[in-house]
Amino acid sequence: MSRRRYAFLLLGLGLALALAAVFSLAVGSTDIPARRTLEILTTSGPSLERTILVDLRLPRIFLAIVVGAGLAGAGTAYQGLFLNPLADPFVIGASSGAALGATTSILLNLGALPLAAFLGALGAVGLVYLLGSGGGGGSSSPLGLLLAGAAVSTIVGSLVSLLMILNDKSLGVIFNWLLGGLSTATWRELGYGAPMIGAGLVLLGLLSRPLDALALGDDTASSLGLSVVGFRFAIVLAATITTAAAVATAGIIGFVGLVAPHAARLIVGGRNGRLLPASCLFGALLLLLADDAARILAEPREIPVSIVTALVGGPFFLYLLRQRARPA
Amino acid sequence: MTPRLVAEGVACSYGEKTVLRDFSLAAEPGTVTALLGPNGAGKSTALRALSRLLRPRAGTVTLDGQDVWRLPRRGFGRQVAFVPQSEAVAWPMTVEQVVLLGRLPHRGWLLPYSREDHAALRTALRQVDLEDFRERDLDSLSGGERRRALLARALAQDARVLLLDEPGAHLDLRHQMELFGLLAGLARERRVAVVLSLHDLNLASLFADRAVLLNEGRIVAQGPTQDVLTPGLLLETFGIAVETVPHPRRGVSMILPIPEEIPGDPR
Repeated sequence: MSRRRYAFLLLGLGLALALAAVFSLAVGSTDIPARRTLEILTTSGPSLERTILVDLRLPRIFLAIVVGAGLAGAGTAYQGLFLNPLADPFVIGASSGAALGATTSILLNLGALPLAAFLGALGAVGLVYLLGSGGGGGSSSPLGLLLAGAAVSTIVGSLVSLLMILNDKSLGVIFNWLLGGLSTATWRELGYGAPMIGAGLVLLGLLSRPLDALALGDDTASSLGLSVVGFRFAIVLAATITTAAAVATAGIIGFVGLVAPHAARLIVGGRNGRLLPASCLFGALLLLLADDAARILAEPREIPVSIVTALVGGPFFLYLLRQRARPA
Repeated sequence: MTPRLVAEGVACSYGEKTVLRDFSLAAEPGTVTALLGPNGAGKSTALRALSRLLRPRAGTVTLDGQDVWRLPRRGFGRQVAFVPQSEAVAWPMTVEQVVLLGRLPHRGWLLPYSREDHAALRTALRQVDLEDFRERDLDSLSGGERRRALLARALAQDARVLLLDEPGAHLDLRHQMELFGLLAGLARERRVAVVLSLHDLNLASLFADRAVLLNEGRIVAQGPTQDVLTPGLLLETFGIAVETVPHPRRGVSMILPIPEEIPGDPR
């Protein structure tokens, strides 16, 4: 793909995202006409509609964009690191760790649920990393990480289930969190989520050439002057911070981090420096639209957005797989 | 001064298993050195030790007299390029992207590629005859084209020492000739020191200045290729009988294996 076409693609995705954001301002159980919306946003003066727009819908839109981009970016990194298009941001245990953190926080009434989820995700991935690299000092082979990720996810996941069964009074609250959602978005949440996700994504962007080099194999990457162990660790760290921050603010939202990088790669190819921005824009767009659908489909009730992403993302992913399987 | 990569008394092991012992070699600028020997003889291990990928259990590898493990990784990468045997690149990467990665030791992992890097890309692609493949995905290429693309990556690295693990594998006759011609040309014209492993003894005879015969991790013989490729040493190394005849045009030894007689086969 030429530089020009790539620029047009980014521009197009950015434009689509902006349009979707404007459209999303009008989505919700309270009908606020477009003209009134413009009026409220350009003037000051308190009103219920203003509160809905500025304190509910706007942060929710921004959070959808930030979390969608974050999940897509982390997914891109993990798919590139494991050279496996089926990897997603949760592939090495971030989701189960976050779930354990959140569950513990709910059960012990600790508050600070996002922080607990964030620490849980970091802890689980850290454990996976230690185990996957053979108890420290190892070379952290991608396969070792994947296997350790699967094992730790299963163990931690069953711990969460156990905690839920033993405390069935809190079942609803925990379950609700596990399903993920953007409905609780506030400026405050955005305030700590966005900088973390942004920092993680910038780091991943800076690491995109080493990620490219790692795709040539450890020997080649090393002979090109890269510390394979060091850069792999840095990439996992950046992707984990991004994932953990996304999970902490919006719960576990599946499929965005799987589908967005995959689709973007089909269009722009595997060069991570180009793939990452496209993938992030695509993920942001996807989650924003999914969140709109979650609000519209069962009005006046809301469906958890993770159900929408799975319902839309699942078939889309199958379609992509079929495209791949077909001889070129 | 042209750098010189020297291994002295190198021993390597994977776990308990020693796969290379007392390996010594000097990669001389302007020469092609061939590592020859049966499967599992230690050729790849020797190359990995030379390319600073495998730390020897004993002995030293030095570049211009300096222990390569004390040199900065990137600095070493500017001087010594390595093309591994495996060609599995399981990711959609374009030829251009892969070859530009050869500039990494020069440009670093962060700075954008410069005009100089793109010039090196064009030169490398021209050298391996892949100029029209720039935008193609690596996995859409044939085995031989892919090998040449990966070689171009090492050429773009612009190193003074070029280490290659079986560069001739998967190449058809014409591309084999072109590739080895290219490597020999790099050695002659740009004083590159080329060390490669290969199975085709005749290619070694045609293109390598020096040869090292390896068997079971030990050096059986080393020296000028024509002195090493003798029926006696080859029998000792490979365990098969061969006869050599001079190449009708070049005069170098061509190795003809003598198969055991098959009853009833008229040949």
